[in-house]
Formats: sequence, structure tokens, C-alpha cells
Amino acid sequence: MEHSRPAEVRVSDASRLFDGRRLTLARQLAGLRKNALAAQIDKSPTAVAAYESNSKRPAPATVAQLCLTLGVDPSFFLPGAQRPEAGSSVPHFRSLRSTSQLVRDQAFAYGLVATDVGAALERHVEFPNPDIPRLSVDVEDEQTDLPEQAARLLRKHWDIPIGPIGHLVRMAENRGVLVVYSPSQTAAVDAYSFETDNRPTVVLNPTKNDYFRQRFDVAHELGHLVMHVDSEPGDRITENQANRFAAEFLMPADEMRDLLPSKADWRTLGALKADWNVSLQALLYRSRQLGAMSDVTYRNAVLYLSSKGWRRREPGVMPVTEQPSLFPKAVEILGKVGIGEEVLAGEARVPLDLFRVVTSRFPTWDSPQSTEPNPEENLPSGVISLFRSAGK
Amino acid sequence: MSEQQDALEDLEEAGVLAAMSWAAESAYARTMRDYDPDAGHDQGWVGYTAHGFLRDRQDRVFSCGKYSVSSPADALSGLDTVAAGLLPGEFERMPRLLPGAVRRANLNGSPGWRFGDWRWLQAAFPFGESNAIPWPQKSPTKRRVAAQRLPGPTDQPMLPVEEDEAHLFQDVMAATLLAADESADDLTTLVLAHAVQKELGVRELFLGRSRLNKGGGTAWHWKHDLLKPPFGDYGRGAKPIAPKPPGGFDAVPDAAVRLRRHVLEGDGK
Repeated sequence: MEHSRPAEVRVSDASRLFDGRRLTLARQLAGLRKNALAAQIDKSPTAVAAYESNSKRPAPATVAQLCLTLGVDPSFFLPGAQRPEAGSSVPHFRSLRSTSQLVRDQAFAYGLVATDVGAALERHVEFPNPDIPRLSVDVEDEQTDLPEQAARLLRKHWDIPIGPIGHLVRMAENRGVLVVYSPSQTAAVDAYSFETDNRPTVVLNPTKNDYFRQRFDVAHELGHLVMHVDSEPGDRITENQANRFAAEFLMPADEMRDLLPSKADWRTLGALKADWNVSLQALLYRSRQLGAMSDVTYRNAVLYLSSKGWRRREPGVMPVTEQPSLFPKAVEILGKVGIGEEVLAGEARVPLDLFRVVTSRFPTWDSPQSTEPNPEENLPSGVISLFRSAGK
Repeated sequence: MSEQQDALEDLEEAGVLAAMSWAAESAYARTMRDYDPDAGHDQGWVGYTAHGFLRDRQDRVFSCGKYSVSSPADALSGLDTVAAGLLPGEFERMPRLLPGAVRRANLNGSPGWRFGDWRWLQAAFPFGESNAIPWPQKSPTKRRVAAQRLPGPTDQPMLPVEEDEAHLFQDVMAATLLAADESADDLTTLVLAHAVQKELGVRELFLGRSRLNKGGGTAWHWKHDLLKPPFGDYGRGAKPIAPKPPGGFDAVPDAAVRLRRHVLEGDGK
């Protein structure tokens, strides 16, 4: 079996076979609205909408213009994997009000790229089978203890022993959950999760660089994956449920109740933090939640913590964040049998730069020049193209 | 410039590295002179004794603890105290540092010293096993030191105040933040790790940044061998242990990813 670069696709072929959904994907990755793209390729927004809905095919010259503007090869616009319509796999974004639709679209498009990369890799390698129990939680119900039950269920289902949880990312990966970093350009979006093709996916924020916060994020997203597969993401109740899930998952009530201090005893909290791999803030939150700490004590503790600058950066103790391994490992072992990154990126139909971001073990940091928005790109503030050469 | 280079250059320039080497040499010389297996001394005695002597010798050379002086001018008058109990010639070889340059900076009761933004604690380890010191099994203080964050990209804000809690804080937050203590320490804590092979009397002495090696893996982000010839060659000749890229210390094995059979058949060589 020979692995070589896929044959180059000509603009005329891409025009003939053009798949509008791929244009939507490319546009979202570039962080553009339809009218902004239309302006850049000198077409009307209606024309762009028509290309995207497959009601009109772009001429070869337009495809060439799209390639130049968006920074993709013509092959990018060939028909891609059939995906369920949006709605059944909407990612769980936090703080919806603080992120614009454009930013969310871009982040989800990146998630879909990750899915494409996963599909390409899984032709050659086997990942662990997804093993996430489902528990449909009533998202209207604020009083239910189902989030806590779901956390206990997951601990049991995954045979997690009593006590602190070790490497959470690895644990999830070995149960078939795909974990990837998002590119630094989308750092405005918090960690999020979604599911396509039966592969639950968690996308981590690359800029946190905070071991404890990242673990809480992962546990929070696992909560969504267990509880909220079918529900509308992002509302206050589901977010709160995911936080409660994460708290119980990382700090089970039965084990923590007797350990948590009733006063803001920083020494004790610091020791618990080191043992349980959770932040001081998460411990305080848990202390109040379990009634170990009164509201007043909690409030004063958080105020003290803020006054010390600990809300942003807790004192001293900061292990290196957990790193994902499924994709990087796959790329590594495929490289050893002669299937290189370029071939795999081609098979996933993802530009090589973006492929490398998706399959990276570490957050990728672009040079300041490349993350600086180009005013000529007509991008709304805070949205930066994920294509290196877009707009050039 | 790497942290290792920063630390070693700062401490070298101030004579601190030489002082550490002297302190360890003196501590072990005395320990090994007193060591008497026939009297019941064992490895534990050696480690314990040397550890205590090392603390004492560091206090001497840095004018800390009971050897501290109120002013540099007073230092000269107390030198007989500093010399007392040392083996012949040791006092003469002791590097002279300005009193006050290095201060005691204990951490949770664990003896520590500080120069500039660098603090160091002492740790004993079994000879030859410096790379496998199991920090997760050490004292909470040593664990926490090993778990210190590495210098990295700018920190992001952590948990924002939950909306439903915001009312709890609004009134007083601003005032409290204004009054915030801005003097938060930015110390980096290193470890001065020492060992001896008691039968042969050979020693090891490292200064480095310990790494919380949960699940195994190396015990250091970086370490410098203080018994090697002077540190001046750093960056040209003998390279120190290179720091791995951020996040590369993850000792947990990768997830189970296997080649599919057809790939093996098609490409297996």
C-alpha cells in the first residue's frame, strides 16, 4: 500500500464538485461572516449564501478567489463527510453571552476539523472505544441531585478508586474521549465539548496554562458529555449542573466532607489542594456547597483570595498541565511506518498548519505577527483566521 | 535565557554556588570522620548527620541563624564562632560572602535560604539515584516545591465570579482589591540535593529545580552538578541537562493507540 500526497485538485474540478458546506467550514475557520467574505471575493452576500447552500456553484475563477482569500487548496471544497445537521451535535460553550456567534462558529468549525482529522487517523490506527455512560438529566430541574449521581456513576463505570483522580485527560482518552487543544487564536472560547460520529470530544483552551483549572474544565466537559448530550447547551442551569458534576467527580462528597475546613484554613486547604489536584477556589466552592463552610466564611475567604491575587494565580504550586496524547501518538506511530503528516493532513483535507495544531500535544503559540489581526481582513475584533495564509 | 541559566548565573556571580560546595564538603568531611559502623552508625545516621551539618555550614557561610550578625562590620568580630568546630583548613577555605546577601527563608519549617528571587531547601537522597528521587513520597513541603509552576505564558484569569454569586462581592470587592497586598513573593524554590556513598566516601551534590514525578520519570526539570568543575563553562562546553519543552514532563503513558492490521501488513517493515 503506497501512501503519497493526494493528486492535486484543479480549480475546475473543485468548481464542478463544489460542496457548499465545505465553504461554510472554511469561512468559519477564517472567522468571517458571509458579507465579509463576499466583500473580499467581490461577490454579493446572496451569492456566497447560495454557494454555501449548494443552490449555486461558483465558477472556477471564483473558486480560485475563494482559495486565495481563505488560504485553502481547491481540494478543500470537494464534498466532505456527511454530518448530521447542526443541532444534534452543538458544542457546549460556556458563557454564551460573552462569546459572539462568530467566535462560537469558528470554534465549532475547528471541532469539526478535529473530527475530520480523527476520521483520517482512525483509518490507520485504533483508538480506545468510547465508553461514556449516558444519563439524561432534566435541564429544567435545579434541585435534582442527578449531577452528583452522574459523577458517582462515571467514577463507578470507569472503575476509579476512592480518592483523588490521577491524570484526568489520559483517563478520558483511554475511555475513547478525544481531547485536543484549540488554537491560540480562539483563546476567547473556554473549553468546550461535543460529540460527532459517536466520538465524544473535549477541546481545551490553550492559554490557561493552569493545571488545576484545566482539570476542572475537563471534568466539567465530561459532565456535559454524560448528562447533556441531547440538551441545548450553554444555559445557566446546564452549566451549573456540569460544575456540580465536576465538583463531585473530583471531590466526592463522601470523601471530602470530613476533610474540608469550616474556616479558611489556608494550610489545610493547601494540603488538600496538593492531594486532590484541585484549586483552592474549587475547594472553597466545595466547602460551601457541602455546608462545611458558611456563606459568610466563604465570602470572606474568596475576598481574601482575590486580594492576594490568588484568583488569577494561586500561590506557588502549579504542575504542568495534562497533555492530550491520542492524536499525537497516532501521528507518531504512523510516521514510523512511513505515513507522514502531509499525507494524513491530505487525507483529512485539512491544511497542514491546522493539522499540526489539532494533533499537537502542547498548546500552539503563534508568533505575535501571525496572531495580530490584519485590518484589511475586515475581521471583527477578537476573531482571527485559523488559516495561516488567509487573506494574503 | 532559561531558568537554569538565570539561576546559575545569579548564584555563581554572588559566590553562592561556591559557598554551597564548601558547605557540603565541610559537612560530609565531618560526617565521614565521625562515622563509625562499629558504634552502630548506619546509612540513616550518615544522612541525618550530614543533613544537619550541611544546614549548619550553610548558616555559617551565609551568616544566618546563630551565625547571623547585625551588620557587615560586626561580621569580623564573630569569626571565631564561625570557625569553631570546623576541621583544620576549612575555615580558611570558606568563601567570604557579605552578611545579609543570603538570608534564611524557611518554607513550612523546612530550612531554606534565599538569594534574590532564588530560594533553596536541602534534600538528602540515596547515592546514585538523584534522577529517581520520589518527590511525591516526600514531605508536603518537598512535594509542593516539586509541583511549582514553571515560568510560562502570561496567566489567564481563573474562575470568574459566578453570576449568581456576584452580588455577594460587588460592594466590597473594589475596596479590597485596592488594599491588596502587592508584595506577593515571586520566589522560585530550588533544591540542594546531597548524597554520599559511605563505603567509598564519594559524594554527589546537585542544585536544581525538582519535578513532581508522579508515576515515575525524572526527578528534575533541570539540575546542576556542583561537584563538576566551575560553572563558568555553562553554555559553551559541557551542556547542563536540557530542559524539556513545556509540558514534556508528563510521565503518564500515552493512551492506547494501535496500528490497524492493514497498515501493519501494508507498511510493516
